[in-house]
Amino acid sequence: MAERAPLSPRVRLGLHLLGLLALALLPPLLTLIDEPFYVTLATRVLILALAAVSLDLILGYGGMVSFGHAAFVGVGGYVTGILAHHAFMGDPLMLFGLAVPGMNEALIVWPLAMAVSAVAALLIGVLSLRTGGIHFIMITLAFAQMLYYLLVSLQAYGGDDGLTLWGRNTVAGTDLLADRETFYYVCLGLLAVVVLAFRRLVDSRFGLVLQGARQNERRMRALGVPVTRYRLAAFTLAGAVAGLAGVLSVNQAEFVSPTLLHWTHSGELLVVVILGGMGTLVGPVLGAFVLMGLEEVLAGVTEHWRVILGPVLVLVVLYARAGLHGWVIGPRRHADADGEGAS
Amino acid sequence: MRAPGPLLEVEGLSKAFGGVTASDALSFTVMPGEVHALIGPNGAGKTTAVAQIAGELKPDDGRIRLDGREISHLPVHRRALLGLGRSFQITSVLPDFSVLDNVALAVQAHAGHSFRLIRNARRDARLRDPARAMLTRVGLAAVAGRAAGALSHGEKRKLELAMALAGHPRLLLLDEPMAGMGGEDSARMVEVLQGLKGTVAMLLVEHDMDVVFALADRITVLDGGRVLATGDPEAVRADPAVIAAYLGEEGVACQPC
Repeated sequence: MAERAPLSPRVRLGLHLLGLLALALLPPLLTLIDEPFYVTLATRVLILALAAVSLDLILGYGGMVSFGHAAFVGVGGYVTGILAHHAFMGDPLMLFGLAVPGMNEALIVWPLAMAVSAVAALLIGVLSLRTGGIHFIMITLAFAQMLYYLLVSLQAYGGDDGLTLWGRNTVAGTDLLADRETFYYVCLGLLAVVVLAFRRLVDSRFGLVLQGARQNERRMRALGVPVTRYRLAAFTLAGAVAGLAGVLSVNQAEFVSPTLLHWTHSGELLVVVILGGMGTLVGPVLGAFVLMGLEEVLAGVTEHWRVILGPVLVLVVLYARAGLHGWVIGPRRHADADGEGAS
Repeated sequence: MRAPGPLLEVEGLSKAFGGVTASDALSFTVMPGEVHALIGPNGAGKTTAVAQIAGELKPDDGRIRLDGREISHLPVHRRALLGLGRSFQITSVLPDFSVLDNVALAVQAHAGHSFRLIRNARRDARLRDPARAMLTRVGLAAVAGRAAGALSHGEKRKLELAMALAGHPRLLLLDEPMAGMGGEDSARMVEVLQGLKGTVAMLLVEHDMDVVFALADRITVLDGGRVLATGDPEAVRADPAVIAAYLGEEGVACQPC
C-alpha cells in the first residue's frame, strides 16, 4: 500500500469520538428500524472488544504474544458465576477454610472478579515472562488450557456444561442491568473508560518503557531498565481488564462454561487485535465489530463461513499490516520533537 | 574520600564456550577519566569481555569491580544504573521511536522507577530538555523528530552514544563505535569522543588503529582470551609480542619488498 500522510492527532481524535458517538446512538437507531435483537449482538461485540483492547496493551504495545488471554476472561466470568451460584443455592463458598457468602452485587463482585483475574495473570505472568518469543506463546497457551481442564473437572460448577445464572448481577440492590439497553450502555461506558485510560497509559513513562522493551529489550536493559517487572505489571493489568470482560460476558449470557477459556477464544482475541490493528487500542474495537459482523453475515450465507473468513484474515495480514484501523485512518503520525504525536 | 583507585577492575575473568576459551584469566583496570582501548585480532575475546563487564554474559570465574564495588553478580540493568553506559557493536536503538524519544527514555531510565502511569512522558520537560541538550551535543538536534530506525548508520551510532551519555555514566563501554561508518562520520565521532575525554572513562573496543592511537591513554592487547600487553600506546606499539601477534601483520605488509 502507498504511504499516506498521517492525519493530525486532532483529526484522529475527532474520528475516534465520532465512532464513540455512533456506538452511543446505535440502540435508538436499532429500535427505530425495529431490530432490537441487534442491541444484544452489539453488546457481545463490545465485550469482545474490551477483552481484545486489554490484549492489545500487552500485544501491540508490550510485544507479548499471549495465546492464553481467554484464561483471564474465564476467571473473571467464573468468579461471577460461582458467587451467583452460591447466592442462589444459599450455601457459602468454602475456600481454604474460609466461608465466602455467595453474592450478586456488581459493586462487590466485579472488582473482586477483576482482582482474582489480576492475581491469576500475575502468577501466570511471573512464570511465562521468563521466556520469550515462541516459548511465551506456548506457555501462555499451556496455562490457559490447564485452567480450562481444571474448570471442566469441577463437577460442582457444572463441569463441561457450565453454570446457568438465575439473572444478571444487581447494582446497589437494583436490577438495573436486566434492561437490554442499559446493559449495552454500561458495557460501552466501561469500554470507553478503559480505552481512554490505556491511551494515557501508553504515553506515560510506564507506557514508553513497555514499548521500548518491545522494540529492543537488550537496549532497554543496557539503559538500566528492569524490563520484566514492567511487562509483568502490564500483563497483570491486562488480565484484570480481561476479567472484567469475562464478568460482562457472563452477565450478558447469564451463563458461564469452560468454553470461555478455550484456546479458540484466545485465538479469536488475537485475530480481533490483528484484524483491527495492533498497538492502536481503537483498532481492536473496530476488529471486534468487523469479525462478529462478518460471522453474522457469512453464517447467513453458508454454514462453511470460516472458509471465507479465513482468506479475508490472510488478506488483511498481508495487505493491511496496520490492520483495518491503519487502513481506514492511516498510520499514527510519528511522535515528533515537541511531543505532538501523542494521540 | 577513598584514595583514587581504579574505576573498573577486572580480575581473573574466565569464560569458555564449550572447548573455546574466550576469556582466560583476564585482568586489567580502567582508571577514572581514562580512555582505555581493548584491541586484539578477531576472536581475541574483546566482545566477550565487554559482554561480561556489562552483565550479559556470566563469567565462569573472576571478579569485576566498579569503583571498588563488586558487580560480578548484578543483572545488566543494575550495572547500568551504577554507571555503566553502553554502545553496542551492532547498532541498537529503538527504531519506532523518534530520536528524541530514544534519548528521553535513557534519561528516564536514570530518573527513578517508571511506574508513572498517567502523565504524558513526551511532554515532561524533565526528560525532554536534557535529552534535547544531549542531541545537540552529539550533533543530532536537526533530526530529533525523525524515527530512529530511519537514521543513517552514522547517525544511529551517534544516537547510541547520546543514549549512553544521557545516563551520566562513569564508564562508557564502546564496542566498535565506528564500525561501518564512513570516513567523515568516523572523524566526527573521534572528535566527539575526544571532547568527552577526561569527563568520563571509556573502555573502547576498536579495530581502526588510527582511532585507537588518537584516543587511548592506555591500551590492553588481547590474544586468545589472554592479556598480551598493557601500557601506554608507545609502549604497546613497541612491544615485540604485540608486533608478532597483531600489529605484525600490518607491519609485515608495510615492509618494502
